[in-house]
Amino acid sequence: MPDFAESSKEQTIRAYLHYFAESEIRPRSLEADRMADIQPDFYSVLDRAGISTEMMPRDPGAPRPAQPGDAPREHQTLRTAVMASEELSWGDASFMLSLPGPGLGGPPVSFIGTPEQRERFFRIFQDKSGPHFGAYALTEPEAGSDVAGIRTRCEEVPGGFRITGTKTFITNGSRADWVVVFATLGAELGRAGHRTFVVERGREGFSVGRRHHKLGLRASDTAELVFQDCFVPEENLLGGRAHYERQQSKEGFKVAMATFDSTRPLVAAMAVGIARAAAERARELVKDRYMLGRALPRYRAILESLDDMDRRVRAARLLTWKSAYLADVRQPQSRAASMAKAYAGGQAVQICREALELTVDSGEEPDPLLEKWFRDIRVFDLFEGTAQVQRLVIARRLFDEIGVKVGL
Amino acid sequence: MFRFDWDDDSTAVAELARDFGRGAAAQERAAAEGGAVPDGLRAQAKDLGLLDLARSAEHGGLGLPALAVGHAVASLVAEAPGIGTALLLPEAASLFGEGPGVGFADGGQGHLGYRRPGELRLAGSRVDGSVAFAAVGQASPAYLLIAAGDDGDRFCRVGAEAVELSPASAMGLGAMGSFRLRASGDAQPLGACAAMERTALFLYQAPFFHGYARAALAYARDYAAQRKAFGRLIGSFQGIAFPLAEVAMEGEAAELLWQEAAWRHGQGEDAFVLAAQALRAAKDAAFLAVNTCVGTLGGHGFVDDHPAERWLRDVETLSALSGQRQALAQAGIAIETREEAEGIA
Repeated sequence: MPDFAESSKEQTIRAYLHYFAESEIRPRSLEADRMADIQPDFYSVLDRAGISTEMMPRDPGAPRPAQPGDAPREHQTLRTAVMASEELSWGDASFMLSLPGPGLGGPPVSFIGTPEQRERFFRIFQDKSGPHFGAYALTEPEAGSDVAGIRTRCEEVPGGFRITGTKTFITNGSRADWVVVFATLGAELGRAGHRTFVVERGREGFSVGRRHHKLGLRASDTAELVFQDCFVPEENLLGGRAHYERQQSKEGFKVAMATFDSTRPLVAAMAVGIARAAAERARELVKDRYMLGRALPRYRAILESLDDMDRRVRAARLLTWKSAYLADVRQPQSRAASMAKAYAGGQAVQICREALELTVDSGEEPDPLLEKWFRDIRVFDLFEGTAQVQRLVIARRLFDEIGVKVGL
Repeated sequence: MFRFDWDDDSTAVAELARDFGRGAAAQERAAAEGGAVPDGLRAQAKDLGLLDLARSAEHGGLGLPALAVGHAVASLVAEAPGIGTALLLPEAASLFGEGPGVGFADGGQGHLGYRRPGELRLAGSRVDGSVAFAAVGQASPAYLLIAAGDDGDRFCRVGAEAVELSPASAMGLGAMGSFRLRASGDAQPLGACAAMERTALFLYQAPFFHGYARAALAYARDYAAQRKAFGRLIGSFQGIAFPLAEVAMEGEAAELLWQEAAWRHGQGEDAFVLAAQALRAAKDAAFLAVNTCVGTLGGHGFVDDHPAERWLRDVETLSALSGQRQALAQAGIAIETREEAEGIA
């Protein structure tokens, strides 16, 4: 039977993260946005508070695509993570994206990394001398949602591979200690040619191109990464060569897709956090506004609008929770993840716009937080697969249910 | 920690309902045109216990919680929307402890004190008035009515002699039949129909919309997977496929809102606002689904060769039976928001 209960431990975690978001993130938010960076002191505060991406799915026991012979078992990792993601993004999603840790690079290393690779690449996050980051480099200037169309080449050479190509829109790209990079042995091989590597910062031929200036989420580092004949040793091929042979070589593409299945709920939860913040802020601000001599909340249209925001935030949260739950119990959840991402992203964009409109009048300066969230939220309909790509995934899964390939 | 799986008992009942619906689907059109569910099907549903899903064990029912009832209702309606609705919607009296064979009609003022001409009024132990369109399905030996009392809506029980059913004209739900209910005579006053009872009603009604939404989505998808245009399956066009994805998404969102509301209601929490929001979302999702289904079928969706046009009529009729969408929106406005508003000059 569906169950919506939160244990006292979960309530405590949620309350703690909310307190942290309210007292440590929100007060820094506008300044960080203005300077397009996170205040350096934040990381020591974060460290003292004991908050990290440990709650994200990266450890060997974390959710991953089910393998033959897997014993049925249930995790709570992604469910905890989406809860954390919502609360921290309620404070500021740029800070959420800037949490030290493997970030989106974590899931692929967890999913197919060998024990040695997991130990080697995750070890750095035990070092408390400063913040450390991982990153995930899939998108290219000519291939965003079209994962199968990546053009970054990997060429086999003695002892490893040489990577050449450009990756773009990479979160934490300029400060990452290592980056999970998707490349192809040759475009003509299609998905079977995909390989996944971990490339450490400092490798010859690997450089940061530029930091992108963005509409929103300005404090979050988004960079272009350039690989020019960058040599990567054999031991950095995720899962090792045997893994690709065993999986008939399509595993590189599958890793990218499986990563999306676990990261889309997290991104959806971020959108929920921002939308919730905007809805709450609008509700608070309309109280002080009057029209035709009456306070705005005395107009039914305003109340309906506020209520509708609340309903859509909750619906988005439930879709997010369900996709996280399915991942935790290792059930197929591509469709659910896409639904969560598409619904939460789309509704959050609308909610932030409505919140701004409800609270601003002609000649008045918009509330700076609502204005910021209005800019921040737009990307949630774009990254981790655009709204259109999510609908493609959902529609394909619908037709899959009756075993028909319509050619979509 | 939240979870979204169904227990074995709920699954078994839902599968039973689904299988019954599949068996009944072939008779959908005839039932709608004939204005009644065939007797054989009704008897079969009764034998299977499907008419007693929400009825208490004391009255020989299954006494299932709202979540399990809704799961079964949606599963049946998804397979045979018209018949499923005609069989189960009139069983709403069972939500309030009534035994089998008791009809139900809501003629009260609702959660907003909505006044309508000729409404049912309960004064002392006498009821008078009418319900223009009642989901009674068929004549019953007794009725549970919601009527407007001096201090809000109240339940009352009346015998068949105090009730007169006459044909009404509704554009949909043909298999259930359309009746105007007129009541005049002695009534046994029962308790108040307050927020808790309205919550139970909202939660019972929403899964019918979920069922219609599922049926329409499946039908449109199947059609798009075999119909060709410009030499291609129409499902290969994003202009067709994306709206179907939208329907799937809105339907899922509506069902989850309902699940949470039903769960909280089952835990004894005040779920009035959540249930109103869930019912409103269910109505919107169902309309989107049937409307998209009609559109996917193009001209074929407008004629009765396919069930899409019937479902469109059914959903709007069902929507009228379960309260104004706008009223639900008003009900859904969180209590604290209203209180805040009232506290402001």
